[in-house]
Amino acid sequence: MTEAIIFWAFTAISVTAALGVVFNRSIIYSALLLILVFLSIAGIFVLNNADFLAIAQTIVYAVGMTIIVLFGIMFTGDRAMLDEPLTSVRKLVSLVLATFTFVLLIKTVQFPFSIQPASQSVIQTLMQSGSTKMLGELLFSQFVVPFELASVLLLVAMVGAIVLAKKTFADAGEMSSQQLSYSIDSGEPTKEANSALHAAASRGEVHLEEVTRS
Amino acid sequence: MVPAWLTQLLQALHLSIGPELSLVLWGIILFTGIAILGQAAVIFMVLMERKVLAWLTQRKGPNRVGPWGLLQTLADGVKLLFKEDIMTTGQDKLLFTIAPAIFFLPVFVLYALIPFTDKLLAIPLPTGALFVFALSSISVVGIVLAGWASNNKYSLLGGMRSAAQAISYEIPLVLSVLAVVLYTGTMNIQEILTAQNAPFWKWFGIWLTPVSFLIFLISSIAEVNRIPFDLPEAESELVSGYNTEYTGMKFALFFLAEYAALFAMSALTVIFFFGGYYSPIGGTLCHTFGWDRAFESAVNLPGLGQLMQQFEMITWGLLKTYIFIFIAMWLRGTLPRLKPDQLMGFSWKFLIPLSLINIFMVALERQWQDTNEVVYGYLWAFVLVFGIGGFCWTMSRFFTRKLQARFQS
Repeated sequence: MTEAIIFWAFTAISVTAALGVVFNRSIIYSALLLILVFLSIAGIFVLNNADFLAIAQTIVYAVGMTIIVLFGIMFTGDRAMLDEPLTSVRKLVSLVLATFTFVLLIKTVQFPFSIQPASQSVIQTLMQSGSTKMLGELLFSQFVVPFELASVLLLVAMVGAIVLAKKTFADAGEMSSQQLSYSIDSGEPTKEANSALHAAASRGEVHLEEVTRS
Repeated sequence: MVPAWLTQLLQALHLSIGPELSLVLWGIILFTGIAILGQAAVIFMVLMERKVLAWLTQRKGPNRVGPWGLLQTLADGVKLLFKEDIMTTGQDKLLFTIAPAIFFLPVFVLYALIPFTDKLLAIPLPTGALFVFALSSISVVGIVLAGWASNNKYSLLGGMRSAAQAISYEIPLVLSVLAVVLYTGTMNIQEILTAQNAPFWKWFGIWLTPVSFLIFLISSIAEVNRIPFDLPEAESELVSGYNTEYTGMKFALFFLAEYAALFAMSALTVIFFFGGYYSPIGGTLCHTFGWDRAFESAVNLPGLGQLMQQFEMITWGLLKTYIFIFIAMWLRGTLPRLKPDQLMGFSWKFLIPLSLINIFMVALERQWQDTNEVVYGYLWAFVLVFGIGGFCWTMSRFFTRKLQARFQS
C-alpha cells in the first residue's frame, strides 16, 4: 500500500515535471524541472531495489549532465531561444523525429521481453546488501562485451569533443592550418606551429599563457 | 527500535516505555541527536575558524561577546535573522529564494548518512559511500542557480566557476574512495568502519592507500569551496561570488551549509581513512580497559556502560573530525588562491591521472593479497616504476614547457 502511494507520487511528479520541461517558456526552468524528472525516476528505481542505478542516475543525469546544460544556457543567454521564430522546416523535422521516437518507445514497451520475476533469495540479497555486487559481477562476466563497447563509444565521443575544441585554437593569430599541424604521436604543436605561435605572441596577437593552457 | 541496553537503562531509572513508544522513540533520538550535533558543530566551527585564523595571523579574534567570545556566533546568528531581506527588481524571485534551500538541504541529508557511533546512524545504506557524493553534487545546483538568479555578473561568474570546479574535483574524489571500497569490498559506510576497527598502526585506510588519502583531502577541500580553491567566492575579484546579492537568513543558509559541508567532508575523511569513531587502539577505551563494566556495577545501572561507550565513540569521532577541520583552516590561513586555469589543470592533468594509476595499483595489491601469486607483485612493481615514472616525466615536461613559455614572453 505504502509502496503504491510512493510509486504514484513519484510518477505524478515525474510526469508533471516532464510536461513542465516541454511547455515552460523559460529554458532555465525547463533545465531545473529536468533535474526533478531525473530525481523522481531515481526514486522509482529505489522502489524497485535498484539502488546503484538510482545513485548513478542522480550523479550522472540529475547533476552532471544538467549542470553542463545549465552551463551552456547561462553562457548563451536565456532570451536567444525565445526570440528565434520556429520555421516550418524545423517544425517538420521535429515532428518526424518526435513521432519516430514515440513509436519506438511504444514498441519497446510492448516488446515481449522474457522477464521473469526475481527469485525470493535474489530479492533478499537486494534488500540487504544492495544491487552493486550483483551488477558488478554481471557486468564483468556475462555482459563484458556490451560494457566495453559502451565505454569505447564514450571514448569516441570524448575524442570527437577534443578535436572540435582544438579547432578554435587555429583561429588564434594569422596562422595557416599547415603551420598549426600537430604531430599525432605527442599531441603537441610542431616546430613550425610553435615558432608561428611565438611570432604571433610577439606581435601581441596571442597570449602565450592562453596558448600553453589549451 | 530502541536498543535493548537503552530500554534496560530507562527501566533502571524507572522510566519504563511501552512498545509503541519504543518504536518511535529511537527514530526521534536519532534524528534530533544528529540534527543537534550538526548544528552545534557548525556553530562551534564558525567561532573556531575565526579564532584559528586570528591566531595564525597574530590577532586576538572575537573576544567581546561572552567569555573568550564564545557567544559571538550566536550573536551573529541573531543579527542575521533580523536583517532585512533585500531583493532587487531584476532577480528571478522564485529561483533566488529556493537556491539557498537547494544548496542547504543535501548537506543536511548527508548528516543522516554519517555514523557518529555504531548505533547513532540515521540511514544505514548498502551504497552509502557512493550516495554521499551524489548528495554533495546536488548542492552545486543550488550555487549555480544562486549565481544565475541574482542577476549580477559577479554572482554569475561565481556560479559558473563553482559548477566547473565541482565537476572536475568530483572525479578524483570518487576515484580515491574507490581504492578504500576495493579493499573493504563494500560500499556500506558502517562496514568500511568495522573493517578499520584496529589499533592505529593498522588503520588500513591511511596505510594502504596514502595516495588516495592525499587526493581525497585535496579534492574535498576543493569540493567545499575553501581556500586555496575558493574561486566561486573569491572576494578580491568577484565581490563575494555567488552569494553577493544575498542578505539576512538566505545568506545565513549559504553560510551554514558551507560549514556543514566542511564538517561532513572532514567526517568522511576520518571515516574512510582514519577509523572513524573508534579509539586509536581499536574499539573503545572504556570497554578495552573494563571501565564501563566497573562503573556500571558501581552505580548499579545496567546499560550505563553501553551509554558510556556511545559517548566515547562520539568524542573520538568529533575529535578526529575537528583535526581535519583544523587542517582546512590552517590551509586557509597559509595558502594563496589559485587561478581558474591552474585549478582546472591541477584536477584534470594531475589529480585524475594520479588517481587512475593509484586505482590500478590498489587493484593489483588487492589481487596479490587474495591470490598470493607473485606475478601480481611483479605487475605492481612494473606499474609503480613505469606508471609513476611516466607520470612524473609528463608532469616535469608539462611544467618546464609552461616555465619556458613564461620566460620567453
